[in-house]
Amino acid sequence: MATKILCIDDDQDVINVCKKVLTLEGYDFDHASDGEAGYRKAKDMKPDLIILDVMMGNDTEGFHAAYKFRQDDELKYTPILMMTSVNQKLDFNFNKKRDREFLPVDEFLEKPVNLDMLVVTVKKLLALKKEQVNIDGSK
Amino acid sequence: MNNLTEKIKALIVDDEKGMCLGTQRILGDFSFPIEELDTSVNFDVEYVCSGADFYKVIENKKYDLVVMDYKLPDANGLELLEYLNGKGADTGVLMITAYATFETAVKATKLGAYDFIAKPFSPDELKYSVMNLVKSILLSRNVRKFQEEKKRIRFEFVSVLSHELKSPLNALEGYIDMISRYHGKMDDSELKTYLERAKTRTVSMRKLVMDLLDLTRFESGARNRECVDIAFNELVSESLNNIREEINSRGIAVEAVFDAEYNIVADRTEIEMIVNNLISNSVKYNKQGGRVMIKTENKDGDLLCAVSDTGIGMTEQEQTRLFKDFSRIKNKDTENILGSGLGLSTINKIVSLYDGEITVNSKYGVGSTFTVRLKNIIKEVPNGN
Ligand SMILES: Nc1ncnc2c1ncn2[C@@H]1O[C@H](COP(=O)(O)OP(=O)(O)OP(=O)(O)O)[C@@H](O)[C@H]1O
Ligand SMILES: [Mg+2]
Repeated sequence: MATKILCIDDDQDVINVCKKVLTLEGYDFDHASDGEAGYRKAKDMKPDLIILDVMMGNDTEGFHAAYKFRQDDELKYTPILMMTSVNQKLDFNFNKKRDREFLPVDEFLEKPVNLDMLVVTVKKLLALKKEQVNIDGSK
Repeated sequence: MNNLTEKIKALIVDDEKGMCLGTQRILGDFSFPIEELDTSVNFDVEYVCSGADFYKVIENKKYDLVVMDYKLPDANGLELLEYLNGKGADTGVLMITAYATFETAVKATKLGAYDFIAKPFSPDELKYSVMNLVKSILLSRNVRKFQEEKKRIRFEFVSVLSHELKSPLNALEGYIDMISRYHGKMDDSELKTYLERAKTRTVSMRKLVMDLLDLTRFESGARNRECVDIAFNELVSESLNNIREEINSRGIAVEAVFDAEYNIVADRTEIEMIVNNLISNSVKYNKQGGRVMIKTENKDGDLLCAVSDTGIGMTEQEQTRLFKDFSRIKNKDTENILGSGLGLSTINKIVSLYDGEITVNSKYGVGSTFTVRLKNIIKEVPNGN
């Protein structure tokens, strides 16, 4: 069974690109365009990795979605790759070291996402063992 | 008339206790309005009798006003003033002096004493000086607050704007990157689809830039407004004709109901913006084969224009953020519809120029009605009764 990736982003074009690239890389790809739909889809398909846009409809939708996954017994240990493009809008820069302390996600990539980095990061996160996943913002 | 009162925290510094008590009583009973700020001022007065005590009390409290004797046994007014400035306090200082020399006056003024009053003075003289001083402090505070608010709004606008401009760039870069790396693994029709999407994003980015120019022109007042007679019904028909092609291609039936000829006095460009945007939305966010209905009414000299559609509609939650700059509703129904999210916010700004309002009534999946009310702009209603 192929490895499954769920991408949650409200930009159809970002989805198109991720879909094509990750499908060509051999993954099963599915997507949703907001946190709520993403959660439902995740419950359904049980992805091996979730790619999550930090800022969808409202500024914090991505954060909320991340917490929601971590509180769900079935999805708790699914690695999350967060895509950000907020450095300007929220007046702060994502700092991996610092933000991992409170955000339960496993890696950040800044948009526009370099596709080589995307592929490499996806591979890396898929190789995480259950106990390595950053489930409570502590890793 | 005075909605607010402002309590001014005042401190008197004088080594003669009698002076302190007298001044405290005068200011304690004193109150006056500041019309520009729609507020009235009264005082909360404390006093100290030495420089040493002055240093003590200002450590713990911020005063709006200090009335100080220039000559104290243990200090002089200039020192205290300098110290107050060093703390960056936003305090007005009224200096009392028996023998103000020109030099001390200049020095003290440089240090930020706003006014002098010579001993002995009458209660009215004191009140007059205090009133002017307090007025100038409160007015300049108000200006500062206003400027900060303006800066904040501007920052927020630019932040959202930069996000709106970055999104299409991200999308474009994604397509370019993908095509340059993986084109060998894609067939022509796929490539074509991606290139078309990329093109669409550039078109919408250009539209955003143009809409932005429109919006800022309105907001900056750079455009000369010109009120002229406008045949409103005709303007609506023209607006419909402008997008006739889209109306036809989507099989939309339009019905315009005018119960009279409406002649209004207004700025043509502004009214066109309103009507064009509402009609364009009612077509854009409609369903294939849907209906649009435009209804105009005279409500006591106000023009009421309602544009209804049988389109995709909005949930209540979605309706709350419609009128903000760049606000677009993103879901399956809207993902292929181009827009900058500036139409309604621009309308909202124009409508307020006419002391009017825009309201929305919408039901998700059923349709929407946007109603604009423009105050007092109907010129005449031929054969109206
Ligand atoms: N008649 C309507 N029916 C359903 N949704 C609407 C309607 N009019 C506006 N909306 C929603 O409100 C949002 C804001 O509308 P607005 O006119 O401000 O921006 P836009 O149409 O997206 O872009 P622009 O008008 O700047 O090109 C739209 O994106 C759409 O989601
Ligand atoms: Mg619009």
